[in-house]
Amino acid sequence: MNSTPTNDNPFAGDSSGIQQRETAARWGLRVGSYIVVLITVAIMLHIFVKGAPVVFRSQWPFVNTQFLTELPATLHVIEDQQGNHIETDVNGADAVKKKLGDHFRAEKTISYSGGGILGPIVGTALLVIVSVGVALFLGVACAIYLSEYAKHGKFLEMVRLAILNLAGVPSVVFGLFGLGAFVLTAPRFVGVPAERSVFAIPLGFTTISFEGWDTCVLSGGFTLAFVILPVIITASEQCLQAVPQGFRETSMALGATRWQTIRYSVLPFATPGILTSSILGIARAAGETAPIMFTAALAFKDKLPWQKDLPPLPADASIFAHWEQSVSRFLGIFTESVQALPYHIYTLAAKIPQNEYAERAQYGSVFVFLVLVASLAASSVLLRKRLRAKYRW
Amino acid sequence: MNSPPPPSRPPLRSVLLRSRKHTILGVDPQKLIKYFFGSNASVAIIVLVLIMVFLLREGIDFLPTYQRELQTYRRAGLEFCDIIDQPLQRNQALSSSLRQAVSASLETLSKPARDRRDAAFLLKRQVEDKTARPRDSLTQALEKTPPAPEQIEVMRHELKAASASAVAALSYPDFFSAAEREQLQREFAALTPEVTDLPPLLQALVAEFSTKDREARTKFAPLVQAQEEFEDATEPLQEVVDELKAKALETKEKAVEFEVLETNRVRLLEAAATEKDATEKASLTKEARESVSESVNLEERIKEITGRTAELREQVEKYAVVIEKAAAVLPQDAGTGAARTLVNEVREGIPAHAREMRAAAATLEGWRWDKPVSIFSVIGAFFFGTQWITNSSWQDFFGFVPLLTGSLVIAAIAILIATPVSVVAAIYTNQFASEREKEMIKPIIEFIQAIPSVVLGFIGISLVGNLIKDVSEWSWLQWVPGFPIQERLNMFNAGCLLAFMAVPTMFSLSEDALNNVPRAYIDASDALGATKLQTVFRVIVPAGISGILSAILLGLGRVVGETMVVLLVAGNRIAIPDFSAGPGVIFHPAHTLTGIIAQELGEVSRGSSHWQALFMVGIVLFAISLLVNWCARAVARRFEPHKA
Amino acid sequence: MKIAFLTLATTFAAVLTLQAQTTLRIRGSDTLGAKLVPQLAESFKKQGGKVSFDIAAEGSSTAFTNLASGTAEIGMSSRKVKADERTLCRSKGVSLAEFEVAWDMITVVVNKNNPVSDLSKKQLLQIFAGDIKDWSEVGGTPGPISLYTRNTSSGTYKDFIALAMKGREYGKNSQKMAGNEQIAAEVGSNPNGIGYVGYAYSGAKGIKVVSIAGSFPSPAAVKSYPLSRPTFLYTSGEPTGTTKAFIDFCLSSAGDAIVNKAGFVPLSIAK
Repeated sequence: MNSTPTNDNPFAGDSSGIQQRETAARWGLRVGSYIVVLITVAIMLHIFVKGAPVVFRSQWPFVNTQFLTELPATLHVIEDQQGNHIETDVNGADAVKKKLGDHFRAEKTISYSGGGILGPIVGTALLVIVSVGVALFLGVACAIYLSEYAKHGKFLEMVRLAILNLAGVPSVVFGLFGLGAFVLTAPRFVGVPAERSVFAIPLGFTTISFEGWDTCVLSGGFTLAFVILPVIITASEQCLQAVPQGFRETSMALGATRWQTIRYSVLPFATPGILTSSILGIARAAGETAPIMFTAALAFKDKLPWQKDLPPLPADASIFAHWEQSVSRFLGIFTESVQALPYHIYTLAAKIPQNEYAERAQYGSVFVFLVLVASLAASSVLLRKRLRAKYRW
Repeated sequence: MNSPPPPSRPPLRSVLLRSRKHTILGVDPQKLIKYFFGSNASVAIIVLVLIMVFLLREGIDFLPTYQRELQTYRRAGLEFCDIIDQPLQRNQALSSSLRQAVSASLETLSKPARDRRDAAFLLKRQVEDKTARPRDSLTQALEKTPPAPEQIEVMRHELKAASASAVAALSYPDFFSAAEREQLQREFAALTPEVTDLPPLLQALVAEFSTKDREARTKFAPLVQAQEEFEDATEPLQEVVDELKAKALETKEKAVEFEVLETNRVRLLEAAATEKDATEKASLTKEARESVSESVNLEERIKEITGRTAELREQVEKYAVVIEKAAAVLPQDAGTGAARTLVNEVREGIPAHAREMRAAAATLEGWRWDKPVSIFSVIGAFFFGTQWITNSSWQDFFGFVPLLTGSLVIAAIAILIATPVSVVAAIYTNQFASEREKEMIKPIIEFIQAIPSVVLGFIGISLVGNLIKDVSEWSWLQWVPGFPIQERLNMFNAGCLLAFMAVPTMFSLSEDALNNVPRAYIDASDALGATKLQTVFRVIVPAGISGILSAILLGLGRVVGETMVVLLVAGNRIAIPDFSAGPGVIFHPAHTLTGIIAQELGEVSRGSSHWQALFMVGIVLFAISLLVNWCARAVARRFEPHKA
Repeated sequence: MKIAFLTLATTFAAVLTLQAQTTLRIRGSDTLGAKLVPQLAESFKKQGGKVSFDIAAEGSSTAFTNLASGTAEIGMSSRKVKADERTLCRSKGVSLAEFEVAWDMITVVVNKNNPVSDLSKKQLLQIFAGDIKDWSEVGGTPGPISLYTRNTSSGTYKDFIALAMKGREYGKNSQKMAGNEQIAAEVGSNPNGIGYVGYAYSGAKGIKVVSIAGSFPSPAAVKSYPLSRPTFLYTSGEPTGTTKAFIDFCLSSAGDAIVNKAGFVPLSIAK
């Protein structure tokens, strides 16, 4: 502002130069940080612009229900005499051709690009349910120990170190671990143990054989559970720590045991926080690809996990048989490989061409996937904010 | 227990009374509960141990398996052949340079003719592309039986119209005269599916080129001849080597077959032993009995190979003499400067190549087929091997270096980009930004963490790759080394995306580090009259440097371990990047540790050496991640005397 | 308690056996599995085949590992089974039955702006072995060659070595791509690229088919084209039930029509 120093301070330097430098540096820093923000927004916009038209419609019901409720299928593109392109599936293709008679010019087929993405969505949901179930059980118990029981010492130090290290293990290594541990070694009940069984414990009516679960939802879910375990532990511990110490002291002072204190005076207040934080875990589990590549995911499957043609039961079947069948139907959901959104996107990115027809499936899937994951993450953040406002001690 | 919801009025009394009385197997239930939680707490430790155990279980056999394979490689004589064959590959590299020199020289005369020919063909192709649809219809209609004349007529008309409009849209290069353009236009417009012969002008252009080419070849006859001679010089030697290679390969295949059949026999017998069905059992036993082959007498077979050492040496010597002679007669007068440089390179390269060949031949005598392969050399072959060749018809090699260099170069690019950006962003948000700015910047950067990596990989293929390629073709950017780039899937592309992924981690941790700088430092600095900038860069950043460093290290860990982005975007070339290309090397493709596991593991059969090798790579990755974590902690502790 | 345990165990067992009967799990070659087999499967279902399909296509090698471990009913392979793969299957109690479904031609493609339109067999070998490094060496516009190949488990990868390279290795500068489409996309965007794809994929945007020693791949020339090869389906044991129905469908004239449409050469023409 001032070109010459006008105040009497003898120590003041050339403040104008300093000020200019200050402003310049400040702007430099500002530009630097806004670059990241801009790139993020640009990528989001790009996906939105390309993906949203696939998912949304300008007319009622405003959503492309086909894309969200159908399984992936091969896209057939038929060109008629006028050069119009008709997109259809395998069943529609014949009808269209019949209608056009001989007057169609070319038929192109593009794998995976037709239909919708219901299969992958369902698969991802199943994987997330299993993984979050397992991770919550293990993670919350671990957090309770860390926050309520543990005393400073070697064991605690080791646990904390292990959690830190676990968080840093590359996801593909988790994939290898899941392949070795769950797909190939985990115990299961079988009549006759397979050749690859590591060892088998005969129980008379059945055998526990360590021969693995094969690639299925369970294997993938357990693998993902360990991927998100550090996230869940850390978040849960923070929530437990946030419960004021006074609650515990009051309870203990009334003569409650440690467990009663935890059960009645700590957990009820920490649970909402734990659940919201674990949404972050869900987002992470849904987004990982490498851990499920060898443990659960499939490129193409034309049925939902529960759609299975079980042989019809005889009319005089006992209630037990009915019950058994419904149980087996339910359990069957978890013992099958599934399609999963991230793996589907990998397939779409690497295995099909990039043209205007494939783009629809590619950007549509990416958009849906991103919206799912981002809304999970965002809801976690927002809920946590609200909770914090609610439980202000 | 269905007690009313706490903390309103827990039935403490009754619970307390009951629990005092009970013990389970003589243990206080409170203790049991504690142990339950404690054991769950150790789950993190257990998982880490289990990861190690399972990786080792699948991977540890790699060393003995690979040792056995390398042993066979030696005993069957493959190694012996490679002693000569490997350096002989250099001949191809030199030949390649010579061929390029020849072509550059010939171009001085024939380039205009070639350009004209190529341009004409390209134009023809463009027309054909644009008229593909009507032409295909016409072709189909013509093939149809019985023919439908009027339909064909309609289609002919359509094709003509399409051709006319396509021809009109063409832009002709300057070197076609107006008359030629007209003729081309006429010829292109008349293209029909029935005519398979080239149009006359195109034929003339082809002829024009071959005349020019012939002329050029006579002009540069010495160079052309030298090149041919040099390339042919390998033939007698290569013939001997190929013979030996075939022999060695046969030995190896026999040895492997014997091994397979032997294990197969054992397996079939085992299967038969447990089989309950009688007929299946009988058939398995029968197959087991058939699954025998005579063992291979390696010593005898290898003698047939080593017995020709003298002949081989003689051939190598002859070859060396021939190429040295060729080097001497390599003409100085290449057509262009570039060609001259290439020729000079070859001239200088030949003596070295000859020396190398002679040295290789000299080691043949010392080679022993029965020298055991030590486990250390196997470890060396894995950790320092420069070749990762799998599913080969000659010999599989599992050398780790190409993958490691790929991973490291990509990580370095990512960290070099991400560090300044995230540290700058952290400093700005932490020290300068207003509350509102903070509330906007922080969530957006943290949001990046939620973007799944496979989505970024897809963006890399569909958007960033093309973007980088287009930018690299801008003329005013040609000073950048490596521009214009060829492959859109390359290390730089992957590095950029990984940098983007690493930013949130590094940003948050750096910001924490700045937050942790004690208030008193800042107050003291302010009190001394320092400006904001001075406080930030001379006090706050140095005080938080340990946190920032460990943030960078943790970012590095994240980047090295990331899979999907590099699998999709890095270009998957399994070779040590060609660092002689200078900084432009970052625009080359590469393969990575994580990428190779993801790409190949799904495809190999369990227990094969390839499978085990991939698990070894996994073990190394695991070790790297532990190491990086340990370093980050060590750095954080070392530089941190002050805690807020 | 014990009864519950028992039922749980039996239901688990029941689930596993049930799954095998109603789902056809197909594993193996990307050349077949990315295009032809899914379309065959869809048409088979449309014809009233009551079955569901599980298809994963990571490369021909996976066909045999999966058949051996009993995790697939049908294996797709773009090459013949290797002896050691056959014995591996046999040792697991699986004897392979082989069905030729279609012929494919490995098609060498370059960028559409590349003036090179024919390569001799020797040039082809030298290019893919990395001996020829620059387009000017084969009469093209000067520029370093970018080499795109399939990944190592691919049958095409192996077949190409046998058909075109006399058993030599690919050059170090080769880039290993996950599928045919990816190769086509990269060659289409790289003026100095060269790669190979199955004939079904040669119509992609931006690429141009190169003739080999004057021979151009086309269904009529399938016998004379130097890089053509049969493709196979494998089953564990002689197929029965739905597996048989599906295989029969593939070999029927309706199957041939789909084979043709998907860009392969039906047996009726190849034979």
